Amino acid sequence: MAVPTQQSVGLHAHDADTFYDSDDLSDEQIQTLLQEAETRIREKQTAAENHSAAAIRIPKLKAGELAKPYVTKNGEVAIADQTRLLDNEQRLLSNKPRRVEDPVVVQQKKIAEKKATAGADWFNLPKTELTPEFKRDFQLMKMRAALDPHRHYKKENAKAVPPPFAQVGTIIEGSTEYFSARVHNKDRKRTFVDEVLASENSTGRLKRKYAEIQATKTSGKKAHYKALMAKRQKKKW
Amino acid sequence: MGAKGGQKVILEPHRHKGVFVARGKEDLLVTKNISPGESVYGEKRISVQNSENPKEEINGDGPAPATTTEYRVWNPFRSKLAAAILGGVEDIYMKPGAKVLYLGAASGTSVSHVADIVGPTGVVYAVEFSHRSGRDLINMATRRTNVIPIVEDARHPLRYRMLVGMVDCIFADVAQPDQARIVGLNAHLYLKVGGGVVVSIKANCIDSTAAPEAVFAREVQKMREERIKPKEQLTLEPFERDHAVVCGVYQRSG
Ligand SMILES: C[S@@+](CC[C@H](N)C(=O)[O-])C[C@H]1O[C@@H](n2cnc3c(N)ncnc32)[C@H](O)[C@@H]1O
Repeated sequence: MAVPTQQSVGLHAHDADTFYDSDDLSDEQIQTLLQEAETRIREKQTAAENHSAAAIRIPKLKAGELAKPYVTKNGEVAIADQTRLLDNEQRLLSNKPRRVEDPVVVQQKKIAEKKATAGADWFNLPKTELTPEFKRDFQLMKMRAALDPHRHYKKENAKAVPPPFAQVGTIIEGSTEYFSARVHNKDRKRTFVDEVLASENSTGRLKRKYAEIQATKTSGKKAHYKALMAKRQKKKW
Repeated sequence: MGAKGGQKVILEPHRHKGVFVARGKEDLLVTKNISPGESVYGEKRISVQNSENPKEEINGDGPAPATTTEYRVWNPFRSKLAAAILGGVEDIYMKPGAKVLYLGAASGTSVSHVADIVGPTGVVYAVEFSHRSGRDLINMATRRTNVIPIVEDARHPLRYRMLVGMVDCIFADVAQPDQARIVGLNAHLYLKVGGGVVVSIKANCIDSTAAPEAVFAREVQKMREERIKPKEQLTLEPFERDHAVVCGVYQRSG
């Protein structure tokens, strides 16, 4: 680009002076100029607006069938259509007595049930009913080693307490054992203790054993000593 | 056995879940009959009269009526699992609600007790390849809906993949020399990680020339190789001769 000469620069400065010198324009002139500009801008704007309004078309509204209102008016009286307010199923339900489940109560019940049975791991075996019969049966069972000399048992803890969960049951013989392993109906007993007592009545074993034990246990005691002395004294005379 | 029909017993929970003991003149191992009124192989049963159940008061109709519960006597001379329980096994890896894959089900006598243990919410997949025994097994399963009888060779576990899902425990009593491999094949497909394995080992079925102890040790080693971590081994004396039960836990690979 060529460097402008001093002369040309001077010329331009002069032009600018004549054109833009604000002292040359009166206030009215400025006013009209501004007004003209304003109207021009406004014309442009309205033209643009008209153009965009033509582009957006509002579709026609088509709502289809209108839902029938629940409430209809018959002259001065408003009528509600009962069948549409509530369907039949809900109406029936609402007319029945309803059970309200209080979560706290449900939880308490669950805990109580848990304590009442051995739980799901043992198919809810119920808590032991500590009837007098059960206590006696349990006590005798702890001493069962004394009942049968031919049978051997694991050592039983004499202080054992009844199990917290237990039931009393009756054996049903196997399908081939009707004659070999069955107690006749008339000989059946209500409890384990009764069974043992019944067999004792026929054998008398426990009584005999008791006498034997007493005999050895009392040897060396007062009665034994007296008997011995009586014998000796007899011999003297 | 000395117990006679008509005698009274006290029924209480056993240490193992789903198992019970009936105590009278002698102690009997029992399971709760899932199909009351029937014995499966002529075994003795125990009936318990439940008193009316006040907790099941329904809709103010008063207490639920008295019902009977029934238990079946489990003979340790006829079932290796029962023998193991009486022998004091630590864990049987089955309990109410469990899913069990039983390999070598035979006619289903032991399976019926396992079905009692897992109860109505559990499942027993019972595999037996002999058609003869399979018939009895299927028959038993018609009354016990929690037993799924499968008459197939347990060496090909993929053949029953449509019937069997993931299980909590595999019990094996196939009495075959390759039992450890059979157990492994089934475990890799169906046993969940951490699941239990209980196998009954009959020494002379695996090697009739070696000493039983040596056979058991070798079988335990084979199980290790199948990613089953051995937990315990116990002999089934006096109920079975030269028999052992080995229990283990299935482990994740790597
Ligand atoms: C010792 S018996 C099982 C007895 C049974 N567990 C019980 O206590 O009543 C072994 C059974 O496994 C079966 N068995 C052997 N190999 C088998 C295999 N590969 N797949 C399935 N069953 C098999 C035999 O047919 C046999 O009935």
